[in-house]
Amino acid sequence: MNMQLLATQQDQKIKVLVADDNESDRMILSSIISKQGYEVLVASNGKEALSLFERERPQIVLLDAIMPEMDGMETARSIKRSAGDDFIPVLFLTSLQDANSLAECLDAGGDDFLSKPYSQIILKAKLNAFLRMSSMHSLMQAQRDEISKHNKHLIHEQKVAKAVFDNVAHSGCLNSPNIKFMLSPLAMFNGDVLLAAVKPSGGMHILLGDFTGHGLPAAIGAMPMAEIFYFMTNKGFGITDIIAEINMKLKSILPVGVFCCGCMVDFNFDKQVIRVWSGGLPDSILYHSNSKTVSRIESKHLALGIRSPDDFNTELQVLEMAKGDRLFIFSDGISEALNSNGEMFGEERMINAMREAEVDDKLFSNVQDSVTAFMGDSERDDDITLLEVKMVGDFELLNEHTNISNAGQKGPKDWSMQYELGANTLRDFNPLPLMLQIVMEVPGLRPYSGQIYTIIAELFSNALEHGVLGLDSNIKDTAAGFIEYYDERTRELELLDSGFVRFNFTHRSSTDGGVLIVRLEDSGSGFDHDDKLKLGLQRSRYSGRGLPLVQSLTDSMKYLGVGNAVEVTYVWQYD
Amino acid sequence: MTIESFASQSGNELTISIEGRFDFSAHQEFRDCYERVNAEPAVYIVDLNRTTYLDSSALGMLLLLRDHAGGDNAEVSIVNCNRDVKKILTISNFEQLFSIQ
Amino acid sequence: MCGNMIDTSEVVKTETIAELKEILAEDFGILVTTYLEDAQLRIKKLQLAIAAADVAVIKAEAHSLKGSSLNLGAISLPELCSQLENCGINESLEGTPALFSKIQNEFLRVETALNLYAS
Repeated sequence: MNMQLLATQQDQKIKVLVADDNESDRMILSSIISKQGYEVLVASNGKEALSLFERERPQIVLLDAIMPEMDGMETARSIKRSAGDDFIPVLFLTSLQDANSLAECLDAGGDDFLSKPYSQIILKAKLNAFLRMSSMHSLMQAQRDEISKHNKHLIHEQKVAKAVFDNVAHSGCLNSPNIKFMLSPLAMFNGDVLLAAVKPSGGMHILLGDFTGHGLPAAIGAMPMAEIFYFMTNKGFGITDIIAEINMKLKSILPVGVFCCGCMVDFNFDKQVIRVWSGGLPDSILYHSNSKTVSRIESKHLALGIRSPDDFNTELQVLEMAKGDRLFIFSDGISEALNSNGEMFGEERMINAMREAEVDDKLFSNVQDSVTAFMGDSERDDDITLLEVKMVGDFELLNEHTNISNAGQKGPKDWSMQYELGANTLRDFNPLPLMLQIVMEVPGLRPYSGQIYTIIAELFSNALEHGVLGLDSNIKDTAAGFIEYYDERTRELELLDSGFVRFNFTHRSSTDGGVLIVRLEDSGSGFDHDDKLKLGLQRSRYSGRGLPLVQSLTDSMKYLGVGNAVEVTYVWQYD
Repeated sequence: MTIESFASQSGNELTISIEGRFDFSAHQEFRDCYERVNAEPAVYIVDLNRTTYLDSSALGMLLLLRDHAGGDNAEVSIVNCNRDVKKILTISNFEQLFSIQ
Repeated sequence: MCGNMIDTSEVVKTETIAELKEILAEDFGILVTTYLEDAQLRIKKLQLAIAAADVAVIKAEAHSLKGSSLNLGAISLPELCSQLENCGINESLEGTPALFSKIQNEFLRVETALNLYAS
């Protein structure tokens, strides 16, 4: 059966090359071999044998060990070289008896001997055996080539997948000046992902994800996660809504047992405060620039994709982060990095590397160098994912990263709308993304979404916090105070059982743009607005850029009634 | 890595113990322990006394066991953890899903 | 003609001849002729080589004759050729003329035996 394989491959009989300088020897062999049904090629010396081999490509070669003009050994070597990858058995014909000479034949590349006088039976048996081996070899080669082809396809597919992945995952702001990161270019194949996006009102969302498993299956979950992250951040959704949505998505698409350890952080550059959700990752490290100390932020939650939406815990940790402080987030790859002795790098070494940095700007590179030096020559796991984010002053980013979807010039131009939210809704619904979405339907307003979001957000937060909840903004004077304020806000909101906030939007278009009028009313008791406006400009930064900012962004701003309603006008021109 | 399992006399309790590294190579065997059992135990005990190491695929396997055992209604305990194993379970906050000793 | 009566089975192995006859069938005669012609040529060359003290040729031709004689079933001839071959390898020409004589004589016996078998 296998012989057929060889024969049909050449579409003819199996060819056997015989090289012997003695005519009677040649005759005997020719007879035996052709009686076997093979085609015989004869040569009377080494040189002839080689050229005949190259021309006819026989499947098996019988060589006299000692011949004039290129002896057997030399011929064998040349033939084997010419055969290359293929297995062409070479059998030496010999009357040599001593072991050394016989061994020399094999060393020269010969596969076996045939002693004189030739035995028909032995020759037949050996030919069969070697042709079988040769056929097996061809089969293996064919399989190997098949596998190699498949492999190339797979690698190509992975390249395409990675390109798609990069486009989805890297549409953010990881290249911001306050961010440093270490992420393997093969990160998609170790399940690690780093996302960073600017919020429309300033500030930043960061997310580090570490999917269980490796390779494409691990990477596939990252795509919907990245899409949700960027889309919702861009629309003005908060960290709580985003992380809940991501968890819900992952829970629905990942099989049981597959999950994503993650840490998401909301950076507020204005208030110098961070809010952290962390599940399943090692502690994050917050480096305080002034005291040169570190605090640890533990992961309090289960990883993403485990809990059903009802049981998912969105509780955040809120911390002060002064300007110049740095937050380090990393996956377990770095603390589990091994050196050649099998020891783990661990978190202590990382903290030491930070301590040894001469200047804060060198913190990151020190850690990087420390890990690289530690790992030395040992196998790179390509699992090192490390992120450093520095707290900076207030960012004024005008939506460079927003995807401005251009639906052409069609859309509502002259309209008005009222949207009122009662206590039940105010407790756990953030209306800002929706409000922004509606306003953004006006063609031509989209380039200004950052400013408009800021305006609506500030007015709403004032209406809710001071109007409905009755919180006193004076506590917000320090970062610690802000945290206290935030805690109180959370508490009061949970207890809220009455009250409302009402949005009123009116838009009139003009030849070169339009006017947007935004009015917010709340159920609070108002305040002495004459005084406040005068004081507004002197407010400390911790009470928010707040109203002075709104004032600077709008064309007019006035309080109505007892002060529980505020109206601003925003005049805009086509870009 | 070796896995052993035995049921209590009443068949009410199934204990699975893992010796050595609890990682991806344990996948099939671990599943077989609880899937190929005749009774439906009410309580599962995972004994990590001789487990030297736990990786994320092991965490996944524990989640699969919990899912098989009834998800939120499951009673699965993880016992005899050494310091390293305990640390991994703590970072993952698995005490929110399992009883860990 | 009844020449020297020889016992062919002591000169050439009968089993070998039987096998060769089976392999070559009607071509057996041609094989014998081929061998005998080739052998005679090599013996001539050996004679000249010994006279010229050309050890390389002695070694090569003795080796070749040894091989082909083995294949035709010769019993003593290959051994004699082997001895002459060793002389060539060791480059020692002592006793080569005598050895050559023996080879010539043994060859004549082989020739007779083979011709008998071929007829």
